[in-house]
Amino acid sequence: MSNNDILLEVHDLVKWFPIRRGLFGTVRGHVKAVDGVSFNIRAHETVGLVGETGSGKTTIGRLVLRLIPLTRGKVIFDGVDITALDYRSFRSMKKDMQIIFQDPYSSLNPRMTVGEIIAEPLIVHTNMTAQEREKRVYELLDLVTLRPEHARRYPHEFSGGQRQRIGIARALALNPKFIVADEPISALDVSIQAQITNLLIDLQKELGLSFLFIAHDLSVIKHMCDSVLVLYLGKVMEYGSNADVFQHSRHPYTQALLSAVPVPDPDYKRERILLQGEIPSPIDPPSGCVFHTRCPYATEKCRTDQPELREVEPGHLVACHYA
Amino acid sequence: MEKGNILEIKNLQVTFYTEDGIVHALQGVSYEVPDNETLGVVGESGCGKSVTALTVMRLLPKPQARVESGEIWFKDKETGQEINILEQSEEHMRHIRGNKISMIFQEPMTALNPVYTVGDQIMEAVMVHNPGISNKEARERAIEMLKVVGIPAPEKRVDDYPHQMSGGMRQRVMIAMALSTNPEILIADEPTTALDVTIQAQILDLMNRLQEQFGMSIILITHNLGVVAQNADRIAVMYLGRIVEKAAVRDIFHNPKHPYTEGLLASVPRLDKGGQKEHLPGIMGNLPSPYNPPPGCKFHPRCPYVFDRCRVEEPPEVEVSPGHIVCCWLHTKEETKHE
Repeated sequence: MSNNDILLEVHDLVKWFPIRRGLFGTVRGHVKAVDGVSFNIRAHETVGLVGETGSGKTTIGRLVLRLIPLTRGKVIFDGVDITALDYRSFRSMKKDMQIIFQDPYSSLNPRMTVGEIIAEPLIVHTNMTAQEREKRVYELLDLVTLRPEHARRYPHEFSGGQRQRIGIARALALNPKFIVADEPISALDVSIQAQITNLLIDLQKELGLSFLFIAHDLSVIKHMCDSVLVLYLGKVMEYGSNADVFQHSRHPYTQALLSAVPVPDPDYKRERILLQGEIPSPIDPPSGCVFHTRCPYATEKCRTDQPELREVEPGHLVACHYA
Repeated sequence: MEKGNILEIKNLQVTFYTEDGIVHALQGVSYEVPDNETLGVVGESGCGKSVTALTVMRLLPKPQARVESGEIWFKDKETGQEINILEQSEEHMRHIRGNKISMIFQEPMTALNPVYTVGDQIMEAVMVHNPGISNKEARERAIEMLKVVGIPAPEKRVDDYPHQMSGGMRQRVMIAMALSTNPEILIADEPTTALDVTIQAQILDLMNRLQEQFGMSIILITHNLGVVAQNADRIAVMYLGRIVEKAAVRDIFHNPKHPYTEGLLASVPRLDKGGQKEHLPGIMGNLPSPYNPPPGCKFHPRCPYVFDRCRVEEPPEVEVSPGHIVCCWLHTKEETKHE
């Protein structure tokens, strides 16, 4: 594959949140939310970020879109290092990079009609006339299978699934190339989740979108993603194609995660790896391999040496001394 | 009551009178909980799975909620007595609640009191239900329970406040509190929904172990089909205030009869099979508003097999094979099958 295919390159992304205490807000430490994460997203591709609480997956989504400042690292979008751009030059690039949020209840302004919500990015970023915008709003509503008359209604008149469709229409308004989908279905009812995943799959085919798909549900990640990063405490544990991670996982954490997912089949048998203990605090992550405190195979080396993320077979990276 | 059942809910009807209108939250719900088994209750929001549990606990909000009709029979294993929970005095109910039937909730943080230590809260439960027990004994019991639910260093953690614990720990404390009085039924309402998968696996494993150890029945309420598949013996599927199907766990997953059950199973991507970026068959349409439910079969606007009768008449319960009950016109004998 040629490098030209790559739409988004993330190099050694780091985000430390300072912990301030006391009257003068002295910095007493850092939450290492994201600690050296690198990956690529090619055109028309979906890359999944999966991990538990505190893994840094949502922070990565925000950093990639420059919604929060990064501590270190580089994000190259369409050949341009967006971390080096000043705000005005970045603004013109923002059109191509959008986000869909988890909670369709709090991410839509309750005082705006659906038409206004979807048209807002058009007002901010384009010179369209009111008529052109109206036409575009109807196109977008059709794209997410809502009806034209919905444009005049307010968010509270819609169900969760319909609201998520509105959020998707807003994200698509400016014809982006790339969308961060941050847990886009986890707040929805089961039967509605299927509808929204189907919609995202169709939109990707139709519009050639690339997705950074963030979720804690491994079954959804497996269904949606071409390649996957498994994160733990801000670090990449395993990175590879869908098959690498789901059929041939090499990292004990990935294996434990997969074995913990409840499968809707009472006769499904597999080896269960029950992880002991809790996810450590990212304020004071364990030494060596961050996973060693819960790893069933941890040795002395794991407690002291931090494993490199290394390629165990072409395109399949694992951060474990014993992979 | 039938032999081998500890709880039988019969034709329960509950209505909520709210400012926005009337909601018929339960419209003739019946299910049975066998001794030492786990009944999984699944369904989406507004189906009534939690309302049924709250009715069993007699914890429905007053005065909005009213039990219009129905019976809830409970067999007290100690005395062998069978009682209708809905006819008990509030005083006797306090004895049943906690002592005989305990409940844990989705959000352990909101269910625990933030200004008391977890030890105090477990001790309170122990002391209320065992009058005459000394402070020291109650504290020992609290520590013992924290140990049973797998909290490390329970002698120390007993003096922790809820905010000092993680979500998984708090759920363990809730379970410790619920089990401190040795109940015969544990109602678990979405006990692992707020937790990470590896912690969810720990909590479910714990519940199964405690069930074996103490011999109790569990009502496991969840929207997660995977969770019930691997932890329940029998399953009841609910939709808009009704049970649409109930059967042994294998029948539900390998031989679903109701189109809603079928649709739910087809809505979830699978870790064990299924392709990548393929359409999930799922269920069309949206959940109807509980204020304005459709006539006839409540599922008919979303059902791929709908025919005329479904739109006007409510389907009866039909036993399609022993213990497998379905509410659907496709499965009633006098009606010709619609393909």
